[in-house]
Amino acid sequence: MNANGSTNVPVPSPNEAALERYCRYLEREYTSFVSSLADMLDSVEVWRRNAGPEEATRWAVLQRSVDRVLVQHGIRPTARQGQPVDLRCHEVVAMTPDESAAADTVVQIIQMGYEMVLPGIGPICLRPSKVVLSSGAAAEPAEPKKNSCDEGAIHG
Amino acid sequence: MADMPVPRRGSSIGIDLGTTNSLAAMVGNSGTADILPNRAGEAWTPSVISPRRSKQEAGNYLVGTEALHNFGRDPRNTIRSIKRLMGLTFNDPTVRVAREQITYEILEDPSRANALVVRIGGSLLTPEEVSAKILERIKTDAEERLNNPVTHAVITVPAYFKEPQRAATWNAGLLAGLSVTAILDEPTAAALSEYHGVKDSPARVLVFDFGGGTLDFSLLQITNSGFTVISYGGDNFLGGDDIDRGLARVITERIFDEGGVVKEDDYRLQALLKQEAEAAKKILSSGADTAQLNNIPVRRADGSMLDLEMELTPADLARTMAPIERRVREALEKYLRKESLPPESITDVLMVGGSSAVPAIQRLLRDIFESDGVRRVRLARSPMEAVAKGAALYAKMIVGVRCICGQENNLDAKTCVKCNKTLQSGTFTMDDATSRTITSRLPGSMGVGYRAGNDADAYQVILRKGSLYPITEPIRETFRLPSTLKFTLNILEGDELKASQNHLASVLQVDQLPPDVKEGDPVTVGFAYDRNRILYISITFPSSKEKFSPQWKLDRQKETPPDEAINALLVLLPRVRNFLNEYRDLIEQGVRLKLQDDLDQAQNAITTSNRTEAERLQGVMSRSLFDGCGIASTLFMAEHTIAQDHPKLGHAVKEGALKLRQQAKDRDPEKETTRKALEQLVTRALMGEKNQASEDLGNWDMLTR
Repeated sequence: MNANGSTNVPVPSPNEAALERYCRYLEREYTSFVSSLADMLDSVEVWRRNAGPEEATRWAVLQRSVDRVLVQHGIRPTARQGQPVDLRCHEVVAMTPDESAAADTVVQIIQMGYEMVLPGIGPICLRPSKVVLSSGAAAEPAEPKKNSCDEGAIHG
Repeated sequence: MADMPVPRRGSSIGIDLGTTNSLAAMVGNSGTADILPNRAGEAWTPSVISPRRSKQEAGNYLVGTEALHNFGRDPRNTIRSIKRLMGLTFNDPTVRVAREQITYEILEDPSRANALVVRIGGSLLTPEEVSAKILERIKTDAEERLNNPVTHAVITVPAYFKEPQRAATWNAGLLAGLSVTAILDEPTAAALSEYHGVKDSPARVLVFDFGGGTLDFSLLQITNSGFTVISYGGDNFLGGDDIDRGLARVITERIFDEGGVVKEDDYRLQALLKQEAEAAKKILSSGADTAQLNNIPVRRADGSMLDLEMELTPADLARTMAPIERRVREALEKYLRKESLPPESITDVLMVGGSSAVPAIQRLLRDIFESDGVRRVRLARSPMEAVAKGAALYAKMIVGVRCICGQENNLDAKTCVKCNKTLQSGTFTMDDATSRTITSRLPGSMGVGYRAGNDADAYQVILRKGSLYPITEPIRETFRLPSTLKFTLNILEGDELKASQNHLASVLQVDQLPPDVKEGDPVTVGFAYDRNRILYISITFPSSKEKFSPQWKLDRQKETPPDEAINALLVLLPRVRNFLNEYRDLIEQGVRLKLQDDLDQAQNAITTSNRTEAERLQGVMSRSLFDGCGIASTLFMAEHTIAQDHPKLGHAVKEGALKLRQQAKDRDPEKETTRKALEQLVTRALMGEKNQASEDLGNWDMLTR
């Protein structure tokens, strides 16, 4: 209560407060578990890339199995080649000229990130994907000449 | 929850506005402070803003995580660590140091001498405006989380922040649409979070706050009735980022060993290395034997790519930590020596801040403070959240203002309900008797510069550093009148011996002295200081029979002046500046110059507290903004409509704004038709005429087809 006798926030009942705390606890635990799993998948990816062809196939099968389990539980990878950048779940680590890719699209995934889709809430980014973006062709055709006032223009 | 009382005001939260990250907390129904996660569900919101580059999002800024993620794409326009620049002038030595460490541009404000702005995209923003955008995001996210408006906040600042820096933080809060209840020292907030409700809390606590960018120590006196910051020290340019940079250097050395190339100006790779180093620091600090770094994309000298993997060990961390430990030890010992504090005179050392979790730092502090076998050093229960939680507790405790007549008033009241006097000199009332009060002390001395005999550079302190405030009864000092022609008073802030070495806060001038005073007569200067850090200056001439006693008010907290017209102008000013920056190419030169001139006049009206002028200029500039600048005004209105909760219409307005912008750029003759159609949509949307707006949407489709 404040000096006016009014409260600052809607006051949930004890049961609602307990439920909210429990939900937050679950969210925290779930996020932590998935983050650990994602770290493990990073290692699997490194092993796959360094393995011989036969072993690499085995690692790839394991990766696909884990990915399937994740998807079944509402967790999905957040980056794919050619996708336009989504800064909510893409962390840009570098830009590179690439004639074959449109500007600001993903050309390389340095580390895969994941998001969890919660019904009624939408996707929550558990870990961003580290990506390299295309800055377009190295030598772009000259843009229409701008006057000095364009300095203040919105980026586009 | 249908029987809930309707809240008269929104929620009050605590905000730790950090150099690297910011955090909000609120005291819930249980009485404990809880962190309010942001929209992405994360506790921390990076204190970063960046311009949007996507056409769909034109006119807005990225804030928080998205801005941080954008750093690799646009390092020159991504603003980080803005807290370092708050309240500083362009020529301040701290700004010069900061410029060497940051990737964006700091410039002198073209419209205000010695004021600084940062370049972000095509716009120039003041540090207050950048911080306001961060605070605005925190406010919005908290509102979303609470499903209730957030109207009030306690914002924390380092104990060493001087008045202009505190005032700038306060202004940022106001620009973000918050009513700032109090600016609270970070160590006080941390101690409050740790010792609130604890009966036998230690008496003299050294708060050791080692964050991402700064190292602060503050000695707090804690009694059953309250917390007081006694002294403070530290190193403004030492933090966890230095550990990250050190580890990044180790990684760079390994890259060189593998034949890779790391260029100094390759901001993107540098950013990646820093991130990897930060991750490695966390892993190694948790006691792991190794930190594995995978997939670091590095270029060889011949241009080919190298996919690097490496392991860092505790020995690498120790090597990195050695110079940092040395700097921490030096800073701490210098502080203890300066304040004449032997380690055993401190009853408890409370470690907060993310970098305090590094074991080497904890060992160092135990080495300094526990040599006599008494256990004093401890890590806070939640070292990274303690400050925000303490601010939230304080926000919850403050429920009103007690007037000097004794009457308790609503927190938002400006004058006392009983005696009608201003409440600026009142004190906060707490929600219950067990709440400890927080006494504010002046962070620096205040006084006047004057001529003493042959010394033209004398400085007389009137309010001493560390004095408790509010000071309702003026503290007076008497001088000899140097001349009868006119009397000039230099109001100074600082603790240096010479007047010229201190900060000149204001110059006051009395042009006409009473006729019966002569050179050498006494003149008495009085200073009073209220809880909102407004300095009241009065001058009296004891030898004169005339009742002549001029008074001034030096308002360091310009955001809450008693005059609402000036207050409104303070809010309007940055909007107009942004408008000019954003749409400069679309405003006719004559109109632009006129608006620039209005801006200068407005700044003058604020400085001189000219209410009439403030009212006039507010009207003039508002009309220019919303109506007087043709396409620019239409686009400005459209930008404001985008934020309205009306998705379909909002989308059409956004598309229309982009189309109009392009047409204006291309000098397309159709632009006037588009402008009129867009204006119609915007008006409908702003007036909430949704049905009519739906019809307009049909017309819009026809027009734009």
